[in-house]
Amino acid sequence: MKFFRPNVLKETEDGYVLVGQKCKCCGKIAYPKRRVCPECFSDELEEYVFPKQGILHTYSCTYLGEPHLAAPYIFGFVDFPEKVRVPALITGCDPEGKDLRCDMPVEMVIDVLNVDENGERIYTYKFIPGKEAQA
Amino acid sequence: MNLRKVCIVGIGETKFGKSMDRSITDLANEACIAAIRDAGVSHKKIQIATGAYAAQWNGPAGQYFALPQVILREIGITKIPMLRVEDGCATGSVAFRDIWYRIATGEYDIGLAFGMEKMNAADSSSIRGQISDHDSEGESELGLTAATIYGMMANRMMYQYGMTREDLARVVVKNRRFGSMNPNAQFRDAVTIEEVLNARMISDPLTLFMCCGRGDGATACILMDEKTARQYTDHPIYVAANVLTSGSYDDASDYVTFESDVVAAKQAYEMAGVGPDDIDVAELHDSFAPAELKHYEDLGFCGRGESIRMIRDGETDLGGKIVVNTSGGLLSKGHIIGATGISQINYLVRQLRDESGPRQVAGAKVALQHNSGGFIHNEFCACAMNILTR
Repeated sequence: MKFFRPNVLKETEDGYVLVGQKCKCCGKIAYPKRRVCPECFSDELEEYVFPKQGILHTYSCTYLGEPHLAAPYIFGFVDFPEKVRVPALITGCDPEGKDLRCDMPVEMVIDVLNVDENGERIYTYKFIPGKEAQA
Repeated sequence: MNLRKVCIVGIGETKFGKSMDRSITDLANEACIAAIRDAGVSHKKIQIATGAYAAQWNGPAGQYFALPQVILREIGITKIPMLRVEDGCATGSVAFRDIWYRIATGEYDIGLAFGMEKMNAADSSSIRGQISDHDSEGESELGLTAATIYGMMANRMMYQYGMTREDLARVVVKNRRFGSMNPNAQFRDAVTIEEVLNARMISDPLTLFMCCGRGDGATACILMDEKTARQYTDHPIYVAANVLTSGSYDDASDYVTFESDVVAAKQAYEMAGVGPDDIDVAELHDSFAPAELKHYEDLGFCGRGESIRMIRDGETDLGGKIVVNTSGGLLSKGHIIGATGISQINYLVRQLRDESGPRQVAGAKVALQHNSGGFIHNEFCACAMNILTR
């Protein structure tokens, strides 16, 4: 599988997960990985795996969008309890996002972003309405 | 640091809109000549010049490096130090800040700040398709557009405060009504709430009319220290505060407020020795309708969630508490990146000079300019702010 920004993803027993960094000195969690801790400037960093569940802080269904993506598409901010906000495409919902609301739980999935110049699919992480929300 | 008082003595600009038949040099020359003549100063007396140009569209349009020198050579301004600045959508304000600072510190007495852009040189799809590797989250490849930034802001404000689509439309109706009275605005038709809501959806809940257009144009102003200014005018406009901040990108805050704006306002009020209640008239960065409402709150014009009441009650319209975007704003003028910051300042200078005709705020004494620049992750990259007094 060819991924967009493969450095933000890691394959685990639980499937792909988002990864960032945790500072061994001050404990600051950041996404994505950087050269140093943006808080204390330490380079003693360890990988940090984010949970698959997050909270949809806000979103917008975009009709006149980036030309490499089929419109309409829904773009949102997903918040994690570690005080990290991740930009993401939202899928697995009404195509115009009419069943979405701010602060609803969402869950990470792997999905096609677009197709490259050779016709190969590029994959990325996206979020779908969480199990709680679907119930 | 002891800073000298700096005054705006001359202003000038072109009409904003589509100018495919004119060069960027010609547009900038028109604005600079107008500002120099308005100041009544010899062009040979200018000691320093800084030009604002964001340079995002120059692919097909030729060689735009060292643009200030290229432009000013045409009108006989040579030999003096010149530089070009760029700071996203706050580009014009940063040129203004550069000249303000060099005069305030005593390095120079007379300076020219100007800004220009020819955005129609590039087609829309190439602008939307400008993808690069500089943002670590890759958000533009994931679909984030300028309109999406504000569509998300509007959705969160609607969820958190009960803002409605009509409230967003009210911002457009107000600003386009002002624009209809401004002969230099790009979009000169007043619009109704229904027309705004029924326009093409761009990024929900933002319709086309809630998004500013782009365009071509130029602006310029002449700044002097107070003592020099008094040789040219009895009515200089004072720069009482000039502030520039960068984003905090705080992931824990609700996406209805930007710390860069809150802090800039606090610093500007402190520097000018005024508070939001003293502001008579303001030009706020209304690139998209929800931004103007967010700015009311971040700049302390009202409390959190109260921007809805302000726009519904006409508190920012003529006759209101703080009249916002009497130029018509970016929603009427279009956002001519390099020119916008100085354009906002120039329209406020006209208000403080009592020269705004049907858009005049009676007795305006204190004015606030706010210009956002760039966006990364979850906040503007820059907030530039000026408080002007007469």
